[in-house]
Amino acid sequence: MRRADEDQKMGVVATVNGRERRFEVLPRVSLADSLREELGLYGVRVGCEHGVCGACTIIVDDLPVRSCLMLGVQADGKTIRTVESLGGGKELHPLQQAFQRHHALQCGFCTSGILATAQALLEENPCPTRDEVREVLSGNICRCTGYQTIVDAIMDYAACAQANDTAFDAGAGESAT
Amino acid sequence: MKFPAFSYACPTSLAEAIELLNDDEDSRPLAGGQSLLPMMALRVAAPRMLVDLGNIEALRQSVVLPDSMRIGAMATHAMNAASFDIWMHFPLMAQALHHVAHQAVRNRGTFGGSIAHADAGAEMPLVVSALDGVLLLDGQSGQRTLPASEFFQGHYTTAIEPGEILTGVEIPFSDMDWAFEELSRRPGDLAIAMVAAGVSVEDGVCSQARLMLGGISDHPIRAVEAETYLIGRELTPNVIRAAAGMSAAGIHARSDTHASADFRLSLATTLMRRALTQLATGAI
Ligand SMILES: Cc1cc2nc3c(=O)[nH]c(=O)nc-3n(C[C@H](O)[C@H](O)[C@H](O)COP(=O)(O)OP(=O)(O)OC[C@H]3O[C@@H](n4cnc5c(N)ncnc54)[C@H](O)[C@@H]3O)c2cc1C
Ligand code: FES
Ligand code: FES
Repeated sequence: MRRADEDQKMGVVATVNGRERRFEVLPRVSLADSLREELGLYGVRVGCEHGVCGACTIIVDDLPVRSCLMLGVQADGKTIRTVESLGGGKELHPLQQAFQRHHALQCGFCTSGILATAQALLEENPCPTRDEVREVLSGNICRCTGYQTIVDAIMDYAACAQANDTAFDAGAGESAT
Repeated sequence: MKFPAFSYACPTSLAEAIELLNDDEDSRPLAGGQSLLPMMALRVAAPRMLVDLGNIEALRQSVVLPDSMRIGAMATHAMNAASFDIWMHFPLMAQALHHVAHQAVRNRGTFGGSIAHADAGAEMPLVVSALDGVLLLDGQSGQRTLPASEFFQGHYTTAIEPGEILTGVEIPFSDMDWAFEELSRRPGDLAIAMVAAGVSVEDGVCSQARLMLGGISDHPIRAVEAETYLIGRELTPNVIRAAAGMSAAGIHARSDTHASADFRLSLATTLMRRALTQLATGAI
């Protein structure tokens, strides 16, 4: 059985952004902090640290989750994707380009969580309605944009993807337009 | 805030989990962590040890029996929302699941965790109470079962003894038609007020009724007087208005930053009227 005392680090092996990664953490460290501090993935944002703001949202085993409400030690054996994996990590993904075109971010603190939320939605439902996008975004707080431009960006991306008949590809890097 | 320090164990069998919980009286089961971890971050809870139930496969399983369905404690809200069996047998639960939190929380938060946590504004305790679910508990002194009416005792308070694990809930199939109505500030927030209403209509009149209110008091409340009133009556607008008024009468409502007691009672009446109207227009 996997177990550790409060001052004892535990080994974790997980697939993170396509690569097998190993790290050691204390039980009390959240997955968000583990990814930031052990693996240097600073795209994972830590806002409220108790599940209400959505800034820390990442994708674990293909499902969006709050990384502030998972423990680092619970990542063992999981497949994790953070914003760093979008667009292969080099170029902006077409979804990110749509965010840029529509001014869907200002300070950007909420953006990686919103991208993960949108990515999970689009993987499941490539042509969502505006209402569906708004409902999914209800779990993410943005203090800057007023949300309309975020919804616009996601709808624009979905329309382009539909026109080109392409499914959501997290690794895509070329312009969608 | 960061979590206070704790030790962690991730057993793979129920027996091991029960042993761990009984070894240290300051240990707590960790299900989806979507309520316990926020409480730890806010320093409302600081258990010395967390026993992660996430690797106990048996707790995740649900089975359809001849007259009921047993839903595993560790089935997530997302699994249940996608379950064809739940959609078919318990449309009330399927409707209520739409109101539980946001996708990212539903992907981790569990049915059993929600019931064991027993937040007054949580939907699953109301659903399990309305459908007469039987809670399945396992501990060092063996297994026991409890009806929902004896299980939920107050806000964050249930009949689970320290060291016990809720393994699942057995819910009998219902032949009533059901409606669910809720008011919360934003989609995915806990309910300020919610109702579950079930009726059977035979020869134009109501032959069976079950009316439950949640979020109003500190635990789900059954409106027995209003149920009795409905029996033998046609669900006309006047009858519905009278039953809705009766259903909230005499409840000691809670008051908090989201809503006053009076507002909650007025919401309860309105939501009950909407639920019964929905049933009347669909059922008659
Ligand atoms: C932003 C946000 C919004 C939310 N909105 C809603 C909402 O609208 N409606 C709603 O109902 N909920 C809501 N929740 C709570 C969510 O549904 C949780 O999933 C649920 O309340 C607890 O389930 P869990 O599996 O996460 O349990 P945990 O947080 O792991 O555990 C909760 C408590 O139950 C105990 N426990 C857990 N499982 C067992 C078991 N099998 N046996 C014995 N004890 C057990 C734990 O020890 C702990 O004390 C929200 C949460 C967040 C973060
Ligand atoms: S930091 Fe995780 S939800 Fe706010
Ligand atoms: S862009 Fe600043 S919080 Fe959303």
